[in-house]
Amino acid sequence: MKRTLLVVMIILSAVIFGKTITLEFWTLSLSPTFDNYIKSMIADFEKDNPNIKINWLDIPYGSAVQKLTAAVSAGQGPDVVNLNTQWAVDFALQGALLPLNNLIPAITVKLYWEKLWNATVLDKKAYAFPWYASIPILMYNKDLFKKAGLDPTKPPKTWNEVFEYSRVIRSKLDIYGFQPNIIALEELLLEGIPIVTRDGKKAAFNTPEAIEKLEWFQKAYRENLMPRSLGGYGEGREFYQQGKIAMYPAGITMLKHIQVNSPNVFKVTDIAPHPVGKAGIIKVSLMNLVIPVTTKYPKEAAKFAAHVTSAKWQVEFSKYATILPSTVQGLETSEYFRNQVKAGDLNAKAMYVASLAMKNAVDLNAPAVIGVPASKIADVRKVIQDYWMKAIKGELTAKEALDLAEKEVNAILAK
Amino acid sequence: MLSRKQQTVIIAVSFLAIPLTLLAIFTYYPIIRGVVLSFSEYNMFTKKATWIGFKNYVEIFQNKYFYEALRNIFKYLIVVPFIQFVAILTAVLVNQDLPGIKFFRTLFYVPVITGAVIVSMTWRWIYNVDGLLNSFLMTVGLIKEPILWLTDQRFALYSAMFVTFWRGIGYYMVIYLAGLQNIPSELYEAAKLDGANDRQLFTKITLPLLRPTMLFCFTISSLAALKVFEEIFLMTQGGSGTTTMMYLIYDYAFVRFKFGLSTATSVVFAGILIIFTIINFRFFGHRGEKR
Amino acid sequence: MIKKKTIKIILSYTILIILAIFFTFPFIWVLSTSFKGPGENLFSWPPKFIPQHPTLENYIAVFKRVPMLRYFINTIIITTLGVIFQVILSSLAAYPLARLEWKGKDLIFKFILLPLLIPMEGALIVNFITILRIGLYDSYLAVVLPSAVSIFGIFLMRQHYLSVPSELEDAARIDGCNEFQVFWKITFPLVRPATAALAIFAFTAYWNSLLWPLIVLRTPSKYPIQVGLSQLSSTFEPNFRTASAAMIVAMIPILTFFYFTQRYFIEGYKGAIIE
Repeated sequence: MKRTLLVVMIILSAVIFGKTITLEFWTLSLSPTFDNYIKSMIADFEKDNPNIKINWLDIPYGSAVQKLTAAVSAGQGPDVVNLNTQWAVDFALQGALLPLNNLIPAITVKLYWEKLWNATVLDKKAYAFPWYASIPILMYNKDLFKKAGLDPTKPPKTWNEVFEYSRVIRSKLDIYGFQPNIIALEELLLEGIPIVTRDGKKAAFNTPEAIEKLEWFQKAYRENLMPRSLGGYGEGREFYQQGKIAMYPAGITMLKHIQVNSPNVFKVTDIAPHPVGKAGIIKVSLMNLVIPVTTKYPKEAAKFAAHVTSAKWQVEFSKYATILPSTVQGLETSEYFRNQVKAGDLNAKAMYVASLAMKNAVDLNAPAVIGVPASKIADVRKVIQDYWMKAIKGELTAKEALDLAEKEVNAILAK
Repeated sequence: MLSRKQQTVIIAVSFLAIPLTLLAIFTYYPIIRGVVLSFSEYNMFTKKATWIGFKNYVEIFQNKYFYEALRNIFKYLIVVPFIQFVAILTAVLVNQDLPGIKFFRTLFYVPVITGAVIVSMTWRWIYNVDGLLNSFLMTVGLIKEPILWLTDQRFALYSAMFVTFWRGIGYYMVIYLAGLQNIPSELYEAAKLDGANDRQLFTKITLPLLRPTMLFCFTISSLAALKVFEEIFLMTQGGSGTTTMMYLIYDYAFVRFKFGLSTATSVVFAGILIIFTIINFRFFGHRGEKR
Repeated sequence: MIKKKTIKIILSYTILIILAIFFTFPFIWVLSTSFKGPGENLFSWPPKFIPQHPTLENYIAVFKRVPMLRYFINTIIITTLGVIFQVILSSLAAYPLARLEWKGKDLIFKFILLPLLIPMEGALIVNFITILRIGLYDSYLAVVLPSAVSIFGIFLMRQHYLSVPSELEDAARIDGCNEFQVFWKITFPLVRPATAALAIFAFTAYWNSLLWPLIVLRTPSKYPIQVGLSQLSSTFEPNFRTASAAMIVAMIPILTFFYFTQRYFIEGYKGAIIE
């Protein structure tokens, strides 16, 4: 009896230990800042799954596409990779990623915000687990508001209010009101203007509402309410820190930058919800986890990815970084956050404000949202952007720009 | 004892064996592969190559950005004579045996070794609407309103070219220094005894003897100008009318994943570069190579 | 006569200083930022070049957060390997293409130059697969091998070989030297300035390389400096102070190397005069 038990034990151990597999996990630019967080999350998984070992590698954001392309092409890809939505879609289209439909139970899908999960669904196949998200908020300089005679407790709620406030700021302080990050395609979607017709065959964005929005930008440009260099988030951050703009609508992560690099400005900064357009949605920057086709352990990879993106660990992540969980269970479940907001922590307040908006968060990079066949999105985006910017700079009228863009987009869609 | 002829052959073969082998594996092989793939639609993940004949090439010539890129790279050649002349003069300047000259040479080399990321970050800051350049020009009264150096189509390319100029001088200065050091000082001494002044020393001795180096530098510099990528990639991302051929090739391969289109563009671009080089050599002659 | 020389010297130094500022001013901002403490606004306008309370803490932070010593060693290994390869292979390959009379010499030279005119971005992926096939994945050799032969280097060396007076070589031959000795004792030493220049270019290229090592190395403890430093520009906390300190740290070695190898330019020719 004892001998049989011993034999069974030996065989069992051989089976269990013999089957130790290693999963390779790549993240984008998270090290060394979040070393402790990632390592403890991995340790937690390994504890619950003793036959799986995780090998974590962090790669710089700027070279990620090339490194992943080279690795997967050579059959040496990682098992779980962190990518943003656009890249996830690009790789999925090339057949580089594994569809998740058969790898996870249906209930797992329900743990995430539906719009975020669908961001990477192509042809009814899901390709990514939504991970951490960032939503833009409105940061503004209370001091500058006061100096311009504006009430710092009443930040603007709509884009028209942003415009009016900027006029005041320009006339009283002679500095810029705000810095936009103009991505034409997104501006249209945020106002509820469809890019293409339902069947995806013809352009549908040349509408009076589109002209109205474009002219809004033209006016802001002419009246010098926004920097004419149109440098987007990066430039906006510099200008805001130099006190050259009063309002800075940008992702929450920028707040941390300001705190670290310009503490004086941070002291007089306050947060408001990001203004919404007619569509009532807010754009989200979403990071995801995908599984390349080269993986040898798809089920284990999926299990790990689900662990990383679980509500528990995402809420935990929010304590270290200014990000929001992509799970329906969000920051409001965290006592830590509620206390931080009460204590006056601006970052916590920003995240709390943002997390209340998550149910309206839409990833505007998702093909399903844009409506254009995925392989043509890049071209369509570029065409609309080129003409939109030309109009803003005054080289074309709004109508001319949209007409020309429509023509070229139709040509692209017809090919 | 082997004959001179035999010795020559042995040296030629042994000296060239390893370099040519490495080149074959890492340079020629990818080129051949690329040319073959330019006739297909290639998915590097599934390794599926679908033959589509000349379709990629047709698409290239129908793309308006191709022509814009072509115009831009030939415009970029303007920067070459500027870099070369300033580099030669700088090399002459730092060739003097003055105390601390090594320190200055090192400083001039700084733009060359500064990583591309810092270079682009700091130049974007300078070119900002409210940046250093505009502030300076407005304070001095040369312009009344700020100029959008990186986003105005009229200026963007030239702004990038200036950064190339700034980075290139130190680089070529080093090469010209090597060329200058090869000129025997006796020639200068003899000429001075004959009564030559500085300008004559420069034009009658320095320049002519520098000619092989100049041929080399002009060639490399021109090719570098036509192949410009980093400055565009980091400062304008091909926007505001600044797209170039290398940027297109990169964009097709790593942003659109259209590998076949990328290599086809490489092939077309190669053709253009080859024609350019042949014209160059015909025009400027092999003077640098005759003894 | 004396006055003319003094004017020349003053003029020279004036221009030198102006040029020095012209070439280093963007760098000066980075330098000053690297010494600024956490309380200071980095982006104030107009920019303050002198830190209010200069501190070394950013440099300490760089060494603490990133295993700089490890990365330095890796970079030294890679760069040394790379420089040795490039200088030796280019010097050797260029010689038969410049001197020596043999059939096909011009043809092979043109053939070697050809890839300069054929920019293949896709070579990145093809070479990666090749490296995998020869089993060199995740090795220092893999970082260096594909660029071990520098076409630019061959071109440069050939130009310089061409300017060596053939009389010197003929004299050596008459003295009884065989072809190899002619190369080793006469021609090669005479092009030392070019060899030095080539070493500098090679050093610079390898020191700054980012993309290829990133693709071909897998173990982070083998990363060279630029790859390691790119970790400091995380989207979440780009602390420009630390990043600035890191950039300066990465640049000092090259500048030092350049400063000291210049010596070879001067000695290169002076020491080679043959009576």
